Amino acid sequence: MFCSMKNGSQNPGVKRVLPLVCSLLLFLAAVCPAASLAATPYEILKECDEARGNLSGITWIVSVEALERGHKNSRRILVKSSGFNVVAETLKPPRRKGQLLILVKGNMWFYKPDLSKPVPVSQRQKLLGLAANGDIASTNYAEDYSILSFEEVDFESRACYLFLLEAKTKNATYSRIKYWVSRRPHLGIKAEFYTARGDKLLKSARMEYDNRIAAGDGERVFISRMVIHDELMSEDTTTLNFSDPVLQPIPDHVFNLNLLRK
Amino acid sequence: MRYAVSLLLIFLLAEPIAAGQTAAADTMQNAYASDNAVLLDHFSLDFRNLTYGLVQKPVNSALNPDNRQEVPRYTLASDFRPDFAFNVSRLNMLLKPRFDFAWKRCEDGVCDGREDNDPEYYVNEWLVRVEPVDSLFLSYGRENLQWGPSLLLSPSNPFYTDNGRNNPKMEVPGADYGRVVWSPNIKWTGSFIVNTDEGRQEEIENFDPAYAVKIDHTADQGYFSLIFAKRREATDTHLGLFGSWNLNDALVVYTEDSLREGDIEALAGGSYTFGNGSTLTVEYFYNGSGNRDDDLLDIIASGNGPDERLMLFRKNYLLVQYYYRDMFDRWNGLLRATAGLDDQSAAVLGLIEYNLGPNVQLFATGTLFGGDDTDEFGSLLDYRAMAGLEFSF
Repeated sequence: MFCSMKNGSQNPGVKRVLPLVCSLLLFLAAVCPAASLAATPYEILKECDEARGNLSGITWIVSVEALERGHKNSRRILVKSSGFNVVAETLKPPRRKGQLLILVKGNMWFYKPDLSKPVPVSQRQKLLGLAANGDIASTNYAEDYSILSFEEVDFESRACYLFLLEAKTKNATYSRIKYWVSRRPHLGIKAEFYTARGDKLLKSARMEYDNRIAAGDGERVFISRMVIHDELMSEDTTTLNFSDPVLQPIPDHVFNLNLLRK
Repeated sequence: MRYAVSLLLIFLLAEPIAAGQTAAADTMQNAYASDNAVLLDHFSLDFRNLTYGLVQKPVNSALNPDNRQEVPRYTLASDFRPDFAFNVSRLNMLLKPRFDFAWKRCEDGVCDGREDNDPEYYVNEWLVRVEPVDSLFLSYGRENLQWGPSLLLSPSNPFYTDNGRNNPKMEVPGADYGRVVWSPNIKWTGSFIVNTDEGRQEEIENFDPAYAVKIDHTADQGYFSLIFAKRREATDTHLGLFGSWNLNDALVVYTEDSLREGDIEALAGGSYTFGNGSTLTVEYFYNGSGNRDDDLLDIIASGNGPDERLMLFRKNYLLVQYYYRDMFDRWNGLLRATAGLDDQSAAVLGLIEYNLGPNVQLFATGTLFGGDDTDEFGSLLDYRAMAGLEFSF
């Protein structure tokens, strides 16, 4: 549209410059698609969610290591996820083998082999150490949270966006989140989790993205590590290592309570 | 029939085994090794052993005069519980044989001084499930078929309402079911269930086969289920339902109800998770066919109690439970009080588990029963205490 401006065509100087400007714009559009189509804050959050599991079908392994008051504990979990539906099966230690956590459309159930049936649980129930059940599931910040503020900041010498998020519903795992997102690529690198009033910092998390998944449309970046710190009253930390991500369709029946493989 | 089953197995196994063979099919030997490896990939074995001692004191009451039910005072037992599973894409098989070794000594009533150490071998659960077409599942086997969110009992379940929560370490016996489950999408599931035999639920007298249609709906932050059931010889149908709602990140509320022969059974409950991860659960159960005042023995003798239930014959019950799981990833603690509001009897259960290592857990559980020997919770036992080790591999 800009290139076919009629007024410009009457000026010989503009006539000479116009093809150059058009070429430059086309070049920029080709090499920097993000620059030509700036993502909205919502789209940025959505991209961040996709690097933390929000995909049509993916499996991965989470190794959770918790340091609580000097005690070290660990757990190994197989996670199958499709969108925001998740089944997490504990593989180790043996006494927890076969325990299942099922999250479907915001409903969460817990099953263990010596329970006769899955029982509904809330997302607040802790998984291990500082990690809540909701932490191993895919994040859905784009849909579950409202953006209260959004600004460009530098964080540890990286160009970032800083989001202030507030839960849209009472069902979200955290009420308020400060979320640092690197500007290129769009990845959540730090989060601070606050109480509902936003006046008390409960815990913080740092995320790393060293996993790569081969996908039809190229290579995808996927979360590799999340370290959660207790900010309230202790030096406790919980580390979640994400490994072996594989893109694969997960059929709906995997999340069906009537068909659990007990 | 055997030929048909063989054909079906070949059909179900062909795809994954053929896929596994492709990479290593240079020689017959390699192919054979590959077959074995692929089959082993789909096979799993979980093994648990529960070794424990149990002490309980029977009450001399109208329900158990002179201990005619031969309740032993002391039990030393070791239960071996291997779970075998074989899963390929469209076939799942499950086998849970049980080997229970126990020494029992009776010190009350008609069996005073008697000792017994007969071992028991049985299959508590087994299952074969196939998926002949996408989203359709056919299964038959002996299952502990449970559903619903409640702890006290499952009134919506027309087959067996006891969910085993009164003794968390003991397994609920399985019964025989055929099931057709159709799950067209994540929101809806329809099931047709036939209960063909009481299986190991041997306490059920005069078993009558039952049929049920169950429809499940998963909504945003909520889960609902409707169950229509009928026993073959019964005239009335059983209508059951349950639903649970996640009101926020910490609070789950639920209901589980049934209507049979004009009587309503309704259970309402809620579970709140505190910031430290512990959970408080409260349930109220209204038993429409229950009796507030009559003698328990008369109620049972009259046959007015539900067939598939061994207790809860009164009208109003309250359950309060506090559960703290994974304190420092080593301790679990549970305290549960169940009260019969009509005869003011109660049972208080405490459970402590301590994780000794990745494979071993130490546990101790005790139940105190309160009330007169004519009251529901006071009429069978004074107390029950159990302690032992649970090994997992």
